[in-house]
Amino acid sequence: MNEIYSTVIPQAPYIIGAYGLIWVALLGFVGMVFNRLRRMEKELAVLEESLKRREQA
Amino acid sequence: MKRNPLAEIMLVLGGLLTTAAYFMTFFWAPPTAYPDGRVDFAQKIFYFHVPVAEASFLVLIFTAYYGIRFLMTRQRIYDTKAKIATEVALFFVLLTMATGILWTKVEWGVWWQWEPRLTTYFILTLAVIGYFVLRNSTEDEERRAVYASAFGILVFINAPISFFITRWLESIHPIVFGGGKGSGLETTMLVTFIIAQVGMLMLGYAFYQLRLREEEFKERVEALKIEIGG
Repeated sequence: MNEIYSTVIPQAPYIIGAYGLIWVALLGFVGMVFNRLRRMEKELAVLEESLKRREQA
Repeated sequence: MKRNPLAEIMLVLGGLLTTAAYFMTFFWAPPTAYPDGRVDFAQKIFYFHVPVAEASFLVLIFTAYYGIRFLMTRQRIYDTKAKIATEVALFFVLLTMATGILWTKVEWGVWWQWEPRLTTYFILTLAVIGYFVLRNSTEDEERRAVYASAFGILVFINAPISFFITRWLESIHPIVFGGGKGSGLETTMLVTFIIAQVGMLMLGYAFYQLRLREEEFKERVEALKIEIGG
């Protein structure tokens, strides 16, 4: 058991770091793209509405 | 602007599979045990380091494919698709480098080693970054697309070189599959790895499609602004 702990504990920060980094990066990527898509969807709706009103006028 | 249900399914499935692989890594797959009794816990980085590395190689195929399609047809959409594929590849390349460096520090005791796999992958990383430097340094749209397409094909050529280099030259980087006697994985490790790999490829596909949708939105917004402004 002592041998296992002596191997696992010094390696743990690197393993946690690697896995943490991957999850933060994956979630960050998805979050950023969805956020930008939502913003652009709103902008597009405003522009289309504005164009429609202009055509009707 | 049509939605892509397949991309959304891939995103959810990819998320589920990678999460499952994450739990399997720590609660199911055993750590590598060496004949001298040493337990290698850091090997667990492998289950995500290799899938992101393989994904980076595979996504670069699309960079080259769309680059060739652009050079053949001169249709702008292929340049956009090649650019997005390279963006996704860059994302995976940076993750591969970061996780690889952490593994190297544990296993080899150093942050970096100039051995064939790391050196060729470093060149690949610089080439992928260079692709975007080249794009941003060329103002003319047509020329930018031509240069980027040609350079994208060159970037892709690095992928098989980096993948096979450990089989061609003597290297201290592990060869897990097809590395002769002692290579390969036991069943629980292999299943965990395959699930992580499939999940990561699904996420790669979903990321590509999401970014493509974003580009389509951006182009539509720009076109509408011009229409309203004019």
